[in-house]
Amino acid sequence: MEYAYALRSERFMADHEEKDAGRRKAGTGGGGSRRAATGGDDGELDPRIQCEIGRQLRAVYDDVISEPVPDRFLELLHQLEKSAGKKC
Amino acid sequence: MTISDSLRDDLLASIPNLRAFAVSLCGNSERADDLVQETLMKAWAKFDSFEEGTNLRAWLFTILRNEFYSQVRKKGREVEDADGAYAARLASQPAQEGHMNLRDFRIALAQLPDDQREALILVGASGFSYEEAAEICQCAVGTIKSRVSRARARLSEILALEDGESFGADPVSATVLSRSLA
Repeated sequence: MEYAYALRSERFMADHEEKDAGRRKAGTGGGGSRRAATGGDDGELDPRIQCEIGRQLRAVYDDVISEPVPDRFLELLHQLEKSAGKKC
Repeated sequence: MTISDSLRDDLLASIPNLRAFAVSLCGNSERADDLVQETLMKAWAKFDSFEEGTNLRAWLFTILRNEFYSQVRKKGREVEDADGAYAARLASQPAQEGHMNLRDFRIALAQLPDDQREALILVGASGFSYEEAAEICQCAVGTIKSRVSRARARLSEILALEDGESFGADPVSATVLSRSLA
């Protein structure tokens, strides 16, 4: 499931990169056809490496995300709400 | 300042993400939680400047990031876990069965320049678009794009150099990586 998510976000990123590449082309006034996404003549990494990096990145990040929210934050929100209530 | 229930719920739901981003900035979960606490208090105090319906998560991330860098400016590098120290602590932790690759990845991530790591996390892990990440970091979209791409290139370099053959969960990515350096 985590892996599917990583794949999804990679695809999302790839979409963005393509859109940005399109804009860059438009910005420089070039009317020529866009370079193939897998061309990689600007030093872009192989998509499989990007995918692997994305997967590990998400795994590291999700480690923290999956931790339960510490009580201190629930207490903090309680406190903030209470003090807001008093002021009104 | 009172806020609507839905905004409060959204705020609560953002906490895991804020913590993950804070850890990636500080490299230390205790400090990261202090940073999240500051962020929540700041956000609460200025909720009237937040337009409901716009991107709450991006707004909160911006506050957290600003808070982090203003602490760094005030107190110097001690606020940040010095890059080397964090990486060294990670490296000294015993490798858990099956987590070897992830540990190596964390070490490599900690070695990236702050601006590159932050851009990569925002786009690659937090799920922000390049445009949103640029807004959060207050820089141009092109800058974010180049930081992300340099971060990836650097990571693949570090990981392939230090842990060549065993990088990645499958032999294909290991091959791909070692070939990329050839």
